[in-house]
Amino acid sequence: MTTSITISKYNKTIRKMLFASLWICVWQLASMLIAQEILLVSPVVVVQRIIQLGADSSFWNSIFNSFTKIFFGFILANIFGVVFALLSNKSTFFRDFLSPVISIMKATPVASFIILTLVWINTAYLSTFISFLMVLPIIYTNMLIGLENIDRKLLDMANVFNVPSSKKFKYIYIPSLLPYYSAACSVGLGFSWKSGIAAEVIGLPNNSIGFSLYNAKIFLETPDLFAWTVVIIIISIIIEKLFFVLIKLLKNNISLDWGDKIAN
Amino acid sequence: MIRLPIKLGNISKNFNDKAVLNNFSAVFKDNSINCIMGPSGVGKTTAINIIIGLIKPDSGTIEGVVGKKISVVFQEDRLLNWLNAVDNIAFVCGDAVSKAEITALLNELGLNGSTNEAVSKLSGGMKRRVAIARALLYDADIIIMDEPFKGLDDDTKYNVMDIVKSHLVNKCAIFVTHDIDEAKYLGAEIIQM
Repeated sequence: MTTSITISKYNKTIRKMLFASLWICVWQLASMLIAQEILLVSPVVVVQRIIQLGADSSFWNSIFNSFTKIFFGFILANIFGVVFALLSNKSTFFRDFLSPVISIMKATPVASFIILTLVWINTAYLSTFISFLMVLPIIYTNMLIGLENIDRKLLDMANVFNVPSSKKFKYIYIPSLLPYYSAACSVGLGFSWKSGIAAEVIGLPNNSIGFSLYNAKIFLETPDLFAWTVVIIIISIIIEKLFFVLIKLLKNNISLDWGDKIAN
Repeated sequence: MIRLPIKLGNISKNFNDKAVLNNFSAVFKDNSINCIMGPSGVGKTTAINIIIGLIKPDSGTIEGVVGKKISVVFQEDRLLNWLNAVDNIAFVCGDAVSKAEITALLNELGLNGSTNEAVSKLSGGMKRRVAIARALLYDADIIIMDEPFKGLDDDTKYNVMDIVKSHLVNKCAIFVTHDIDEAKYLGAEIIQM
C-alpha cells in the first residue's frame, strides 16, 4: 500500500516536471522565433542572468528585505485574522462591527490600496501593510467558517467528560480548523507575495525586489525583468512548500489519520 | 460512600412549541441500574440530556447531579476520528487510566488488533465499543448510556453487556433502550415513558 502510494507520488512528480520542461521548451522556441531579446528573452539567458545577479550581494539583500517585510505582513494578518475570527465567533456584535471593513478589504483593488496607503505610510513599510490588508480577510473568513463548522457534539462530549481546555484546543479545535487554515494560507501566501511586490513596484523602497523590477522595466532590461520574475516565482513556491511541511509536522504531531480532513 | 439519588421532578421541555417532555418525574438511586424505555420520540434522549446538563428544562427540578462526575455513551459515538481507539479514551481519562488498562478493556470488548488504528477506519460496531469503553473507564459516579448496544450482533452484544455490568458497581447507571430483553439482562429497574 505504502509502496504504491510512493510510486504514484513519484510518477506525479515526474509528470509535473515533464510538463514544466515542455512549457520551458515552448518559451525557448517562442524566443527563438521572435528573436528580439527586448521583447522575449530565452530561458537560457534568464538562468544566466539569475546566476550573474546571484553573485552580487545586493541581489540577496533585496530578496531578504522584500521577503521579511512581506512575510511580516502575512504573519500579522494571520494573528489578527485568527483573533478576529475567534471574537466574531463569540460575539455577533463584533462580527457585525467588523463585517463592513472586511467587505471593503475584499472588494477594493490592491492598486487602490497601494496608492491610498502611499499617502499615509512610509514606503519602507508599504509592502508589509499591503500584504497584511490582502491576507487578513482571507484568514479571517476561512477561520470563521472553520469555527462555525466545529462539531458541537464533540465539544459537548469533551465538556461532559471535563476535558481540560488545552486538550480540547489540541485535539478538537486544531484538527477541525487546520483544513480551513491551510486552505487560507495556501491562497494567502501567494496573494501576500504578489500584492507585496506590487506595492514595492509602486512605492519603490530601496533594496527591494519591486525596486529592481521597476528599474529593469525603466531601463528596458528585459533579461533582468524576467530574471526577477522567475526569482519571485521560485521564492513563492519555496515558501508554500515550507509552509505545508510545517502543517504536515503539526498534524503528524497530533494524530494518526486525518483522512479527508486535510487534502494536500 | 452512599450518594444522594438523582431526582427529576415534573420536568417539562418544549422544542418549537412542541412538548417533548411533559411533567416527567423519576428517581435514580445510587448503586442501581435503570433503563428508560418508551417509543421513539417520547423524550428519552431529552431526559438524559437534561440530566447531563446539555439541555435546560423549561420547568421542573433536578436534584443529586451537582458535584457528581458523569460518564456518557451518546446516541452517536462522538469519537475523534483522527485519533486511534486508545487515544480517544486517553483523551477523556487523562493520566487516571494507563494505556495498558485501556488496551486490556478494548481487547476484552473484542477490538484486538484494532486498538491502534484510527477510529475512522473501524466498523460501526467497533466504534460503538470504543465509546462504551470510554464511558466505562472514565471515573464517574453516574454512567448514562443512550442505546449503547445498537449495531452490535447478538453474540457481541451479550458479551459487551456482561462487561458493562461488571463495571457498574457502586454507580448509578441509566440506560436508554427499546429492547426489553436488554433491560432484563442488565437486571435494570425499568422507567417507562
